[in-house]
Amino acid sequence: MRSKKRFSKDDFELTMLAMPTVLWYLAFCYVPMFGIIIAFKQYRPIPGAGFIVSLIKSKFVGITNFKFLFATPDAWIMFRNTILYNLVFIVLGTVITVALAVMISQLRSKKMQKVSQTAMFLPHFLSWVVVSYFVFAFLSTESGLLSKLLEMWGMDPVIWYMTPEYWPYILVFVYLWKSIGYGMVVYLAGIAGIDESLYEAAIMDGATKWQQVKYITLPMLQPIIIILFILAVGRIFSSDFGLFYQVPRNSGPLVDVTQTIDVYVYKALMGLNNIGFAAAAGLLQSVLGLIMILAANWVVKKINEENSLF
Amino acid sequence: MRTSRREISAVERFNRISVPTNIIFTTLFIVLALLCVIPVVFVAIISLSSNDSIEKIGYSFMPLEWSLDAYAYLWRERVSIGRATFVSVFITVVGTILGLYLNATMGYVLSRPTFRLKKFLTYFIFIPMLFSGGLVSSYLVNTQMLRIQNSYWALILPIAVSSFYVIIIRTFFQTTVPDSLIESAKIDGASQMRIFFSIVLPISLPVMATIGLFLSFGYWNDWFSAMLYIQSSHQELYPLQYVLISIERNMEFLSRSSEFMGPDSSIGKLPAESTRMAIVMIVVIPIALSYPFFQKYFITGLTIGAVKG
Amino acid sequence: MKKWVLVLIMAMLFVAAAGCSVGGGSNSGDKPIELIWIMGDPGKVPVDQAMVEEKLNEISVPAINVKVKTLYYTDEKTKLALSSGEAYDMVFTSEWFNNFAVQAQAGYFADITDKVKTLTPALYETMPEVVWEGAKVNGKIYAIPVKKDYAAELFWRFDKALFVDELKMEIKDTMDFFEIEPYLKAAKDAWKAGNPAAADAEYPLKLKKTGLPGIDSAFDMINRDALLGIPYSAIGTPDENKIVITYEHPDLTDRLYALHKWYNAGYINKDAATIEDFGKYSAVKNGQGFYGADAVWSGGDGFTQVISKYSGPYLSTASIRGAMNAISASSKNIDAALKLQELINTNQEYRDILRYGVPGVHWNKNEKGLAVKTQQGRDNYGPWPFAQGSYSLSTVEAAEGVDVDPNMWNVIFEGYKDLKATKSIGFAFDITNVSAQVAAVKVVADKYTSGLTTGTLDPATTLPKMMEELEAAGIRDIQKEAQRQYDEYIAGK
Repeated sequence: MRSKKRFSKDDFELTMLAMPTVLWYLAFCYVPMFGIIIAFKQYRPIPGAGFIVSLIKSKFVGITNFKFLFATPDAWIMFRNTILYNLVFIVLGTVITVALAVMISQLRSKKMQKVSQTAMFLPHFLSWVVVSYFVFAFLSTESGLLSKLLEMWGMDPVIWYMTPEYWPYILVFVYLWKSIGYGMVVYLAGIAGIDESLYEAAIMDGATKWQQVKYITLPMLQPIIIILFILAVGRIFSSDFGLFYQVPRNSGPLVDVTQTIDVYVYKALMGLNNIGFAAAAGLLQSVLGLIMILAANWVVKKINEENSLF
Repeated sequence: MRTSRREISAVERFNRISVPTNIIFTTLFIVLALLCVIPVVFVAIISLSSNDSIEKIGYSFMPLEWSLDAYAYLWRERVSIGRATFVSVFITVVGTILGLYLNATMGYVLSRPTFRLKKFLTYFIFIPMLFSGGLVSSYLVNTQMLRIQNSYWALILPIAVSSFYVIIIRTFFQTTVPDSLIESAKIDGASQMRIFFSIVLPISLPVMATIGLFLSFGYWNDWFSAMLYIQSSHQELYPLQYVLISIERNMEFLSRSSEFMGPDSSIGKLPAESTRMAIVMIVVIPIALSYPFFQKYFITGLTIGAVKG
Repeated sequence: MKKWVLVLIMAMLFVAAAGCSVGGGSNSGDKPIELIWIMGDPGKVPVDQAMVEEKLNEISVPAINVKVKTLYYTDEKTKLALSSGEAYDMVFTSEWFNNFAVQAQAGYFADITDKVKTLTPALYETMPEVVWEGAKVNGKIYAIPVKKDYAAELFWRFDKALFVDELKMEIKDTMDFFEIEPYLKAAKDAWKAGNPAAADAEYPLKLKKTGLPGIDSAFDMINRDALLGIPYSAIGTPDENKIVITYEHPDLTDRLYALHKWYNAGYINKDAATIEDFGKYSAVKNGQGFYGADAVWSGGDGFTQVISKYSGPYLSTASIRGAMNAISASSKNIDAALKLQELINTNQEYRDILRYGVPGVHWNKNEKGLAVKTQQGRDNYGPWPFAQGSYSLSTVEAAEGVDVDPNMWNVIFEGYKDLKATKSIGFAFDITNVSAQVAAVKVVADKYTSGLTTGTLDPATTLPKMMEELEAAGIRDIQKEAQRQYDEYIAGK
């Protein structure tokens, strides 16, 4: 039997406080959600009838629109690429970002802290197109810096853009380079919010720097690390299009190691106007992501209930 | 007892890392910083290279010829670029403030453990993180129902809220704001709104600065909203990033389609490479320079203080 | 549970409030009808658009009571606007922008087959019947083709200073695709010898990742994504109705082998498959053009070129569909839109303003009767001239340093007397039943075409591998379906 809690004054005030945001979600997220139906229909516009009426009257085709994702023999390759890259990004990204955040917060010179942080932020602002130019200037067989260096050291030139083996490393490196500065900010804010008295007590007990980090800093950061981890896992089937399409310059031989689901969808649908296919791809990624998040959340709940997403 | 922002407390002085460790760390960060700055320097160099040099040897750290042509072109276009800058600044400032309000209120509300709608609203904001109606339906809703096209609203509203930010804020409130504080304020008769604004916000500056940072950068970099919702009949609303990106994308489109367009495609109507890099510079530099403004909220040692006891 | 119902109800109320779509510009009583025209974004949106539109309306309002409002959209946004049912009257469409066949078959464009003949006969008469055939899908006309070089002719382009002046080589008016080899060799040798005229000719044939333009010019392409076409060489033979996969047919593969040979000989730049752009200069280039295009190319590239035709004139549905304008099926002003198109295609004054801008401000006519743009014209009004309507009607543009013939269009159309065409003009391949395979084939083709059309990859080893993957992706299904539809179409003619 459920206890009937009265909707208290408190609850009312809180609801009012959140109302503007709720309206935002309704207008910009929930109303457009009818678009999910597009994934299951073969859309045909009816002249003069508008989009929604046409959509309702269009033919229902079940899961036919999802098939194009699996039509190539190496469909599994793009799934593999997407998941593997994301796993590496999540693990390496989290570990390195947290480590760097802790380290930078320990620097003796405040100025050094500020300067290096600002510098590490810059890559975030360069668009992937610009980044691809830079990588190209580095790796181009004709005029790239790396090629010239190799020449100087007497080694054979490598046609980077035609050799797939190196690219997983290149892409991981470029991804980390671009995202670490930005990622550090959240952890730095977390570190800044830690109550000083905790450290004071620890010092009085004779704790070393390393022990302070291990027993205070990291545990205090744990909630946010875990939340970010769970959220990242939920996006494991999505990828940053710019990284996987622009940086390798869509070079043919590299496709098997650089093609993710999003790149495939883009290439397959370019020039066509098949909104059913596009919607199907998006929905599939969403559903798979949901499963992953629920799984990750469930695992975290088993370990430490407080840190879970819900 | 609060530690003032100016003094370094005695505790800290005692607690600093050793000099050798500091040297290692500092060297590491110098290397990392260089790694991040060099590409920007590279972009700057390209923007100062002559077009001839770029044609002959491509992009290089040592162009054959230096030239201010790119910036001269920008100067000629200063009216539209200046206007675009104004648009970008306006939407960044307004958007960040509005966004902070919307995200933080929801984050706060979700952090209250006894709130009756807590579970419901958590799911409510969580679902859109994964599921979306797609571009077509959003476009339709925004242009035909909400009718925000060709206005500042179209550049500000669609990206003002992110469940990601809400959850981060919620987590911070849960871990750093003691319940006792809020309870005692309630006993004193304060409404939730007052509690939020006068008590919770002032002690949450690190997370507000963080999300404010993310919002600012999101707005500054956003060109997609402009591409979708600002028509060519309203060029005065073009933000800066859009001007740059639309040139880049059109060049890519042209290079793919030029064989079908016949001889006219070779008439170079688009600005040269160096000019594009110059625009990148004027997009990146101001926002990078604004970073220190946010920074002071999360450099450790400047403790904003916590209530003790 | 109750809360979710509340959410759903609120969402549905919003949706219901959406109402019906508005079909086109405003229209009330005697006020001029305003037509909305979606045009391709040329990269730099014309700043003086409003000024030009005012001038245009000065002619169109008295003549047909119509005002025009042009919006410049990118390809992506155009498709989005059409899909979401946005209100507009006319839109630019072609094979490479807002794909005509796809959108027409989906039902976005108005059927103007009868109206164009009865309501605007002057418009219909501007182009021969066969060109209108190219704008047909399933026997109905869905767009107005732009009168331009509607039969494709491909030219080799040579750096005049190097080949003619310096190396004293003769360049005939027409030649074979493969005949450029001696020129490539000569240029490379000149570079090796340190000849200053050949300073930039280390790679006489520079290419970028899109490969050699028009590599499939020997075919009437039925569907480019699926690599299906009919070779022009088959016209008049028993195979003239057979649809082939271009990468299996010698008319294409022979060229690929030649490119690979040239790549190995050092005539093509080694990084061709990875670069997006190589600048403006290349000792030898090619392009789809027409008589008089050497003026345009020379002006645009900044160095004088001599051209030699190696392909065409070939008429194909694809070449006709190089540029067209369609009327929205949901437009409330279809008749007015047709009349405006007629005005554009028959009234030279209007056409010139549309192309160049306000006379005296953006451009002027010189003594030879050619158009010369002013600085303001170049900076502030630069739409796609070939997209707006009859290209041949507008005044020819002058080009610096080149002798331009103001009558060039007459010469071009004269030359079309000998054009070759397959029976496929008017046929549109409906990919609905094989759309998944088409998407998959696109991705596979994308892997290899860049390498093959730049000569980087060896066709001998790559083609078999590529065909294997294409077959696994279902290209034979597509080919069979296309052949089936085509046979039906031929039988029904």
